[in-house]
Amino acid sequence: MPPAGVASPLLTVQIGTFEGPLDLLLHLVRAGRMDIFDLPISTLCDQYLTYLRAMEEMDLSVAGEFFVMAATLLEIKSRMLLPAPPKEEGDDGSGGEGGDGEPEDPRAELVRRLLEYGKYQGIAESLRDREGERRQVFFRSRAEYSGAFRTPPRFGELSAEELLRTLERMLAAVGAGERAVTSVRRQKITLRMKMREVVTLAERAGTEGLNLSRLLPEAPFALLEVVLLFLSLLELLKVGTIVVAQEEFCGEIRVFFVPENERAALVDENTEEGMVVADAG
Amino acid sequence: MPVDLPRMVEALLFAAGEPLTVKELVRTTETEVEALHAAIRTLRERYEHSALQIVEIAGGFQLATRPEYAPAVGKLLAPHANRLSRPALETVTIIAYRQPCTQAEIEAIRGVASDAVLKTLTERDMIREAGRKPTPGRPILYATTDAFLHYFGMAAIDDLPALDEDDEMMAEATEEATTALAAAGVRIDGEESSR
Repeated sequence: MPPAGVASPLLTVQIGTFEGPLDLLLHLVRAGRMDIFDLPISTLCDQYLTYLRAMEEMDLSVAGEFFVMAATLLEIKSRMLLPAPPKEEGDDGSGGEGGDGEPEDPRAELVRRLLEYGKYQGIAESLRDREGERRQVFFRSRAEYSGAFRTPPRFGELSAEELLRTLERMLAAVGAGERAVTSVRRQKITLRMKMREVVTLAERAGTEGLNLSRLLPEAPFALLEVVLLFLSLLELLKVGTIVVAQEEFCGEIRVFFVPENERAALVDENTEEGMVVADAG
Repeated sequence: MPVDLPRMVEALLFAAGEPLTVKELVRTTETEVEALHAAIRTLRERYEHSALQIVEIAGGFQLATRPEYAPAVGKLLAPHANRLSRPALETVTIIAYRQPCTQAEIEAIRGVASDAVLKTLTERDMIREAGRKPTPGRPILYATTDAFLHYFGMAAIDDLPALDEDDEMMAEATEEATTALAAAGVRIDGEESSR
């Protein structure tokens, strides 16, 4: 039953080297010198199935795509045998290209795919040549100091991928990949602690007062710590433990400690100034 | 020997070890684009009797040996990385022409699953992820890299052969098929497959 061409040793040897069903089909079309625009679908189908059987016999694991294609071929073959339905359109499920009343050739979709795949295959071959030519040429390998970047890089000089790769390289260099982070200690700061700290520092500063900037934690600081600092300042202002003064607009804010015996009278007066502190933050 | 622009470019190309773009060369040598191109032409003339050449590759210029010396250099240096496998070559070709494109689009053309081959190509730096397609599932879009251009000795992506001209089967088939087309009633045209 298999057509003569299939059993020939040349074709048998090539079994298993096909990338997929389309690759195999294109090979059959070319080897059989078939007209791709008028595919002898019956012959093609028989040859294809013979191949599949041979592949199975050789215990090659045949990918599912090959069977899907076999089914497609059989379907096309059977549809070729049927007379075209007089005036039905778009019911063939083969791409819906025959939408304007003309019954579509059942082979059209397959032919389209074969042509498209063949096109890329052709180009891939020409790229194969370029690959070979290029391999005849040698370049200096990247210089050792290629890590010494010109800084700062111009806008658009580096792509996101390059940055990512650089970061990965740097992380790898410091062994970040191996030393995984096992525990992150949470820095414990409470409002009470912060208040105590402000009071202590302000008291120590005495009548000269304390610059607010001195109270700010050192960078990189936790946002929470800054928030707590201002909350504690507001709280301390409210209860009158401290007063703040700002001599000029946007100038340095100074924090003064108020000894306990002078406090009560100041509470109301200083609420306003407390607001100033909050705004300045 | 006077320090002239061509020699300055020569020094930079030698030191760089990677393609230098016109922009980079212009900036470093503090010259104009025109003058730089002239300098490269001069340099190429000077290199005519050299084993080295100045090639335009992956968006820049780079110093390289001439192919005639490949056997000798090949003996000295470790061999190039393996050639791309056929599936990898096919896949990267499809991506090169249709980029950015999704795995599904690639598989529709190749007719086979392409996960492994995409992984290989990514590992070999031939392709990169170029965002996501704004369709359901937001599939990854793939595009080729500068390393791809370099690997195939291309200056820019435009260096790819034209999609419709370069396919022998197509050219051959189109001719003999023009008549057969009407007879067979198959509604196919060359343009359509490139959508």
